[in-house]
Amino acid sequence: MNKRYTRNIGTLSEEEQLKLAEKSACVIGCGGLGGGVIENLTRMGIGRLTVVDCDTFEETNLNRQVLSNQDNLGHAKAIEAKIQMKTINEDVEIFSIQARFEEDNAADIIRGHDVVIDALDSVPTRLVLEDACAAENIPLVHGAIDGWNGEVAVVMPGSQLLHEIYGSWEEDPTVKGSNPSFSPAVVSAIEAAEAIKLLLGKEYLDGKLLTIDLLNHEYEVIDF
Amino acid sequence: MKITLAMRGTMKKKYGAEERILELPEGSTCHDALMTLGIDYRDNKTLGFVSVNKMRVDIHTELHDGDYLKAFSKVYGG
Repeated sequence: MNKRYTRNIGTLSEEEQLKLAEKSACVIGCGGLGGGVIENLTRMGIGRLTVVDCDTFEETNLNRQVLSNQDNLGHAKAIEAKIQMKTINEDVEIFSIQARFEEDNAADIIRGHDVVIDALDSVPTRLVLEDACAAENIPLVHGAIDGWNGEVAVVMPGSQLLHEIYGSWEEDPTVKGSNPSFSPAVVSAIEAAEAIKLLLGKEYLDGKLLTIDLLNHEYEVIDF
Repeated sequence: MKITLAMRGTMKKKYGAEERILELPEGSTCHDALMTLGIDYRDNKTLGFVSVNKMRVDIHTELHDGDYLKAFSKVYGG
């Protein structure tokens, strides 16, 4: 057992730690949620990680996106994710894709992974992702934030949970979403935990949505 | 019948954070409960889904005495 995983043992068995090294995840989005998910999966010792984002870091990301810093503004998020994770765990095989995730490339990007992680900030793209995961028969871990609030779910192929949540999406121009530092930290950690439970055959949020209200400390699991 | 209605997320900001006890006619639905308070969810883009007793239900689901109805806002940032 690699010494770096010593403190994982107890939470995971040695067999589970070895099993995790044979698993792969594709993280769509390297911003607030994505940065946290990518770091968690890298430190835990997943075998292969694909990270996807078309954007570059900008100053407004600094309050919450753990992969951003004052020296890498203007740098591609997906490339930075790979560079930084290689300094944390060189055993993880990391592929970065600097591209906009959309219907035309969705299947090619996610194909061959054991799990896909939703770290997006766009509802229409989330719906494309849910459809693509269903078509490729890959489970999807969903996460989203809005101010003090967040949510996490595991969407198994065939479930239309995201379509049910978002319905006929129409952006409300009067509502300006806010994203503090702690909401993506909490939600991304739970997304990573759900992904690892799924990959290791443990019980996960199957057909359920965990809703999080950090302001009032309301945490609820809703059956779908 | 009496039911309890609560909001979550941005719905709290728009329509109040407090729980309300509503007296409704038998056969009332989740839609009726929201409309009783003047919450016309069709006019806004905030409502994501509703749950009754921690189970997601359709907005036109019939309510029963003692039900706990929650209206959740859409959460979409990343």
